[in-house]
Amino acid sequence: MKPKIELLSREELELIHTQTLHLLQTKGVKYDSKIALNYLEDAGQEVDYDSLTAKISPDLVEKCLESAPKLGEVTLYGRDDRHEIIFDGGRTYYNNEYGGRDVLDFEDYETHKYRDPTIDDVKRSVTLADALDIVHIIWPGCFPTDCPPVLLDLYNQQICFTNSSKHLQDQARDLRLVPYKLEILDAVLGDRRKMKEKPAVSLIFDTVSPLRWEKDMIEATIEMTKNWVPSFVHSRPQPGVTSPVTPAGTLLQGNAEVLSGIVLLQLVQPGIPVAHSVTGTCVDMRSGIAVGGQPLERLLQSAGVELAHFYNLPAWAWNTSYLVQPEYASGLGNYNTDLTLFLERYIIDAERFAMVDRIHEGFKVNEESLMRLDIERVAYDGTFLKEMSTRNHWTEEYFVTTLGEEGLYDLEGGMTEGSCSSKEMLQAAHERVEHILATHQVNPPLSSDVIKEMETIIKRAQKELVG
Amino acid sequence: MAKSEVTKQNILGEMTQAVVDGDQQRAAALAKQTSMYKLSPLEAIEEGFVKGLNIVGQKYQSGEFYLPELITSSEAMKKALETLEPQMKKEGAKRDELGKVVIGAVEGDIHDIGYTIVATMLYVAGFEVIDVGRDAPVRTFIQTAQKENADIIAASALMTTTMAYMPELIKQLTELGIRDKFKVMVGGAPTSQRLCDKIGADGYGANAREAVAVAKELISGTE
Repeated sequence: MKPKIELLSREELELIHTQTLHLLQTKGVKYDSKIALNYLEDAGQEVDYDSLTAKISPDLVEKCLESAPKLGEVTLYGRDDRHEIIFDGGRTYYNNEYGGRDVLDFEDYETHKYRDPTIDDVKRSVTLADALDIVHIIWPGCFPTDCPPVLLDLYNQQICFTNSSKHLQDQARDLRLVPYKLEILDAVLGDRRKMKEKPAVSLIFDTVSPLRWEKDMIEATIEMTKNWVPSFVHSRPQPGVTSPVTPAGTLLQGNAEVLSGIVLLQLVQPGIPVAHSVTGTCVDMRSGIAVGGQPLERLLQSAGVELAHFYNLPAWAWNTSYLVQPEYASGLGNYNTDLTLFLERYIIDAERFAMVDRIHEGFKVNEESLMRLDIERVAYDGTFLKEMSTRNHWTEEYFVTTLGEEGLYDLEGGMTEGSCSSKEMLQAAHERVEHILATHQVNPPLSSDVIKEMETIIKRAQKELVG
Repeated sequence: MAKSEVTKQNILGEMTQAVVDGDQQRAAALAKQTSMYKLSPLEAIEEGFVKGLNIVGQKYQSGEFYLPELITSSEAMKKALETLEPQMKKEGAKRDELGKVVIGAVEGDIHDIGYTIVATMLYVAGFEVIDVGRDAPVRTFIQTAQKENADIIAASALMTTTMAYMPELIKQLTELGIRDKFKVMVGGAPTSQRLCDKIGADGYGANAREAVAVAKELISGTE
């Protein structure tokens, strides 16, 4: 038995798809970039350079969906080949959270404080993520404030490569940084062209809802795509704010956004691996701020995964879900709606996500696992604790917690501040963080020559871009 | 009460209700009928439409109304003003405002939903709001604030990378010798009270409601 819940029927998926094609053809999408529009015009699409919009024909959408590698054909790597990530629909891979605008320093339950993130915090987050087996894709955990803001992505790239050998993912937000980013790839991989066979980095390509792509991100992502850097095309609208309030309407708009991104990237580099991701963030309709945990959000995340699978593409979802199984899920370490880097949360979520994996494994139903003879033997007054079958197999069936007593877990977790469960669990997580940071060594380490080369590249970028 | 007075009261009541209901079409139609009922534009605004906005504000405060009601009602109000404000200007009349706020998203940031909600709530609270739009350079904020003689400059950023323009705003105001002329507010997902204190801004709102409270506080401090 493998848990399988179908939210959308084939007919409903077909309807969303048909309406998406209609929306792309009649309304089109705004690409804030003439470079992007050139690609669409060259592909015979109706482009308006004044309004920066393009109407995309169903034929082109189908053609680009055809050229994107499908489930089972997409494999990502780390800078070390051991870290293979095979998107074949069989399992979920996780990353560590990104986006901390501040850091929560935890000393003990009573003593903790918020402060600005530093380069050292990025290093700590990456080291921790590198050490956690459940993390396969590395994100720099926060935005350091002790480096020039324009160079932030370069610093993060350098720190990630230095402190982890796993697959690295970030965003291309600034065209000026692309040459340096590619030089860093040359330094680390030996040659950026290796990306085509074994992509060691990938990008998040974020839309701006409704139906818009932002200039800097488009143009930087196009350049990276030319160099075979795969993209996870992502729409994260807010129902009722940046998309229709209904989940169906949000899925339709999100799908149109994602497909318009996939079309562009396939035009730039036919065959570039992409992932499809329609998620969604709910807002507090009193204050307007983003909030996690809404049932609507969970439904959207899950339906978004089904939409990706409808196209036979790898799915990326925000936060993990027991409803459906994406190939890739974020949210590990998510705290304060991903605004705060809280390392202890990494540890807690590593267990929480492993529990979700356990649910997805399901269980066997056969003559042996039904254990009818055991029941007959033990009933009416015995206990199964005396049975060797229990002794031999209980750890396959139970999830063995390592962070305190069973029952302390809140599997749903909370993404908002103050939602971490218990004092004991936090303390245990804190001790684990301290231990890992004190002992973990990245394997294999980067050579000192490569580290030096990256430093030289960043120094040059600083001189050329900051002065 | 004379029949014409009853009709006048009825029409003002309808104006109030159109805003409460967020009925843009009705609000626009009623605004166009002002002179037919011998109402001045200012009377229609103050005695009719604004009363609706006040009710909406109260219902929001009491928890009965949420953002969707608030925003659609303010859109209905704006529809009425589109007709009435030009007439009012011709007559030289002026609405009472709490203060004037120049608001927008900083350079590089094309996310406008968040600050638009803040702008609407400031407007509902009684501020005059001048929107410089998204991706607005620092000089646009400053020039607009100077031209409009604003009380507050409110800058929003949704990305950590664009947040860097916030200290630049303070820096340029200081260099121009006009830092004391304006109160500066910052907001948006990556911002915080810590950032506000660090860059020397005057106020920070963690959400739209807080932003309005902070703006009111800043204005009362300037009086």
